[in-house]
Amino acid sequence: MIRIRRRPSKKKAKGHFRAAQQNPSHNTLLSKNLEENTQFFSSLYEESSDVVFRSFVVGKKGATIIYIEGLSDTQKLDEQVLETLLDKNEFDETDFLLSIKNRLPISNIKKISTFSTCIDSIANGSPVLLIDGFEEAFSLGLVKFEKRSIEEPQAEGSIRGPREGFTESLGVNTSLLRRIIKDPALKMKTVHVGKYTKTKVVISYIKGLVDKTLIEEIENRLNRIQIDGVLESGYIEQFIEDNPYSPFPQLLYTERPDVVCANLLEGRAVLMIDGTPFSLVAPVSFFSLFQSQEDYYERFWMGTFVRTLRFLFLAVSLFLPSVYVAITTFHQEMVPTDLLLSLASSREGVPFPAIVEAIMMEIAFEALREAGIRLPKQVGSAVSIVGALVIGQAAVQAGIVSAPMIIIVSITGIASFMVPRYSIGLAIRMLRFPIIILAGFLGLVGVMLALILIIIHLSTLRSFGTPYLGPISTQQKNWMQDTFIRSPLWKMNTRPRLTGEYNAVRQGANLKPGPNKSGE
Amino acid sequence: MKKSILVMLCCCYLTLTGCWDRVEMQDLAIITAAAIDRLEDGKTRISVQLFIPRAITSGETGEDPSLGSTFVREATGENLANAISMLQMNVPRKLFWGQCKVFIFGIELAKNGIRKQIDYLIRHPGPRDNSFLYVSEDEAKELLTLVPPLERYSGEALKKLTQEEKGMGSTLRDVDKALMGESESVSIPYIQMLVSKEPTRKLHETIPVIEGMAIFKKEQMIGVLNKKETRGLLWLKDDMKRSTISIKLKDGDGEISMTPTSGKSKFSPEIKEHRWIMNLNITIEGDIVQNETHLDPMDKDVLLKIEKEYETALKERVAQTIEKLQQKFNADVMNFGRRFHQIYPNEWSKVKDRWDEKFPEVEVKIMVTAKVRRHGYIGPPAALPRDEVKE
Repeated sequence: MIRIRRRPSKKKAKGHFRAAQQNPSHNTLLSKNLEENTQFFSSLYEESSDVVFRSFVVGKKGATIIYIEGLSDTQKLDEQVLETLLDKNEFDETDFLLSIKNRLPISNIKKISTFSTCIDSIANGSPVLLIDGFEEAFSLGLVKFEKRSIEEPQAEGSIRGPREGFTESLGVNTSLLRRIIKDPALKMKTVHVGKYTKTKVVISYIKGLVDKTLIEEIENRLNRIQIDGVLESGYIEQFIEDNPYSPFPQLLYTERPDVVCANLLEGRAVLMIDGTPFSLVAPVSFFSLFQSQEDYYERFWMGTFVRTLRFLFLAVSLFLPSVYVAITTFHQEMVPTDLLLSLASSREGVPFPAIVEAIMMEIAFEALREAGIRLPKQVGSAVSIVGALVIGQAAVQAGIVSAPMIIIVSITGIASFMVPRYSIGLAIRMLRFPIIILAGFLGLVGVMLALILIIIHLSTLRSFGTPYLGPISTQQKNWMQDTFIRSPLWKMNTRPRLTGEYNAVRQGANLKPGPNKSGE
Repeated sequence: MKKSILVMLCCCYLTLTGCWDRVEMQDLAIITAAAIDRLEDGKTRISVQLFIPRAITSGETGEDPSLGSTFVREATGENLANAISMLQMNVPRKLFWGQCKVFIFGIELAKNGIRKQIDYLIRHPGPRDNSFLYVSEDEAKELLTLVPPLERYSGEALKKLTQEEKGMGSTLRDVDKALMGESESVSIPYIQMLVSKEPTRKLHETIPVIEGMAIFKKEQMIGVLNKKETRGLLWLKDDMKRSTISIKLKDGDGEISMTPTSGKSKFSPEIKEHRWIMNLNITIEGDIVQNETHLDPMDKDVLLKIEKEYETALKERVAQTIEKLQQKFNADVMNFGRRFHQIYPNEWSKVKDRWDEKFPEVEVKIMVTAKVRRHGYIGPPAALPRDEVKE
């Protein structure tokens, strides 16, 4: 049944895509005749009320400016372009185009000659100036559109550290990077993705630090993508991952310029996508998903402590409910007597088996969390109050759920927020359920089975060719320096091997500060 | 398609193989202590103390605290296994032995032999190897019905009393190993009900306490060491930390008491010209906790005198216990046999079969070194004018 319904629709989609690509008119050159050109554009932009065609005469020649309302700076267009062109001063007839170019007070002005570049230019907000009798047009760089100002990143807050976050406009984001890394070795390569959105994707990297083949590989993977549109970095992420079926993220996303720069400096590449504040970092390892920017900004003791805590709570959020289920249904003799008696007292009268109770409560918690994100802010607090009251207290008093289960679920919930990267938090949240089921069927054996399966899976994963279990599985020197602990900055003299080995030395040796070293 | 079938098959496996020993906590009858008695007609009676899990509701204390949080249920059978299966028929939930850390044998049973019962308890996967065994002065069942005022149930009180001093308790594993080993004898704490003299408390609101040590030889109980002798036995087991020792000096007018802070007993067996000798070196360090005399323990000579006195006092105490074990009971509870076996394997193999005859002949040489480390917060005797302090 399903097959029959699916196949034709698939074929249709493919065919449709091809037909659209083979539209011949796009790559043809502009015609000399202004009439023909405007004819083409107006037919292209028919039924588009926001596209403005302004025809006028300049030096006895007909001319047309085409732009889209709201994307271009109309004030400058009026005052600087039209005023100059409509001026009665004569233009040099021998080299008409050059004289126009010289008269226009615009820094970013380009000569273009094909229809497709014209369309791109118009779509990006640069008005196109067509002049009769020439096969070339001008793209006037007067892009101006409404954009959000730079704000503090919402999803990645920090106490200490820069408060700037990326915005939706790519130009702002790249400028933020340039403001931090001033060396011209910072490169930005552009690839366009999306048939309709034509989204700009910038691959940025530091030349000399990054592996050239990595950039090639990223470009190849990006060029493979043939989709309608890119609305968020997630679209790109899902098309360039190494293992699309894995629950674990193989790229790191961030909206913080400082995080991006730190990764660039370690020899990784960053993909910045127009239209979203999130950029992608590749390649990443499991351990880099547990690094937060503040680990490096605060003293290394604190960084190390917090990081240890994170791994501890990773284990808690993955295994606590399942261990509880396993112990209370299979291994009651493992619990200290007093604890068991307390557990037995609170479980008394609860109508559900422990596994059902655990799954029920975890689902309820996930639902509350999801509802908290989706709901309008004003209602959100109400939901959390109702959730806390109903589930926390009423359910226990009514004897439907036992109190220890509530404690377990809330600890688990808090633990899953300890992970600094939301994407891996999602993976952990999801994996919890199969582990609970395994624990309910097989006890601690099931929990161990799940742990082994997860470790096997993690060790098979790769992110752009580098092993996911990072410096540990590859047994490299100094593997400890930035995984479970965070070494002092003056001690981390080398870049991480797999990404930074092309330029391994990061800083001078013997940087350890001390009272006697100031005069050196 | 193939993959999805595989996944479905895997899910089926889960439901087919797992869960067979899964028990929800609401279906468990948690045994906190068990008592095994021998009835007059030779049948075995098992009584278990079961925990009543009551939902803890805040602020409601309507129940009579003297009822306790446990109840006792019993069953009789031809043997222990039989009795327990009969017991299961009287309990609606599954009997759960995993947390039962206290087994009490009635004195009748103890005198008759405990081997058969031990076999069941060791063989069955439920009861713990490290649960403690006791012998009760009377019917063991009675002790289960006590409601301790402090602890949740009497088994817990007993367990905590035993854990205070490690050498005191004998676990199931210990007893099994000792009866299997060279000496074929073991000591098990001998307990009885503590009589509460508080008028407001009911008679059963009390706990069982350890009164001495029941000495077993070849699965049968042959006698009891009293409290003082038990202390001596603890020295022999290298585990004496808590009890104070009091001595009386010749020229003193009262006693001086010391609490040991650390002590060590070292056994070195020796065979000299067919004389079997056991050298026992005891070192003890302690703090003075009470000084009834007028002597100043800060004085060096007094201190030396005190230490000397302790050495003889301790020596006497240990000698007394050994004497009783060797001559009266002829039970090698301290495991001398094993120590000889380790060092003199050839000689041991000759006397192995008649160790019973040899054991009372073993000479025990006791050497005690005592050291007073601290004399408490004060130096000279308290509440005494300085000029009355004797040097």
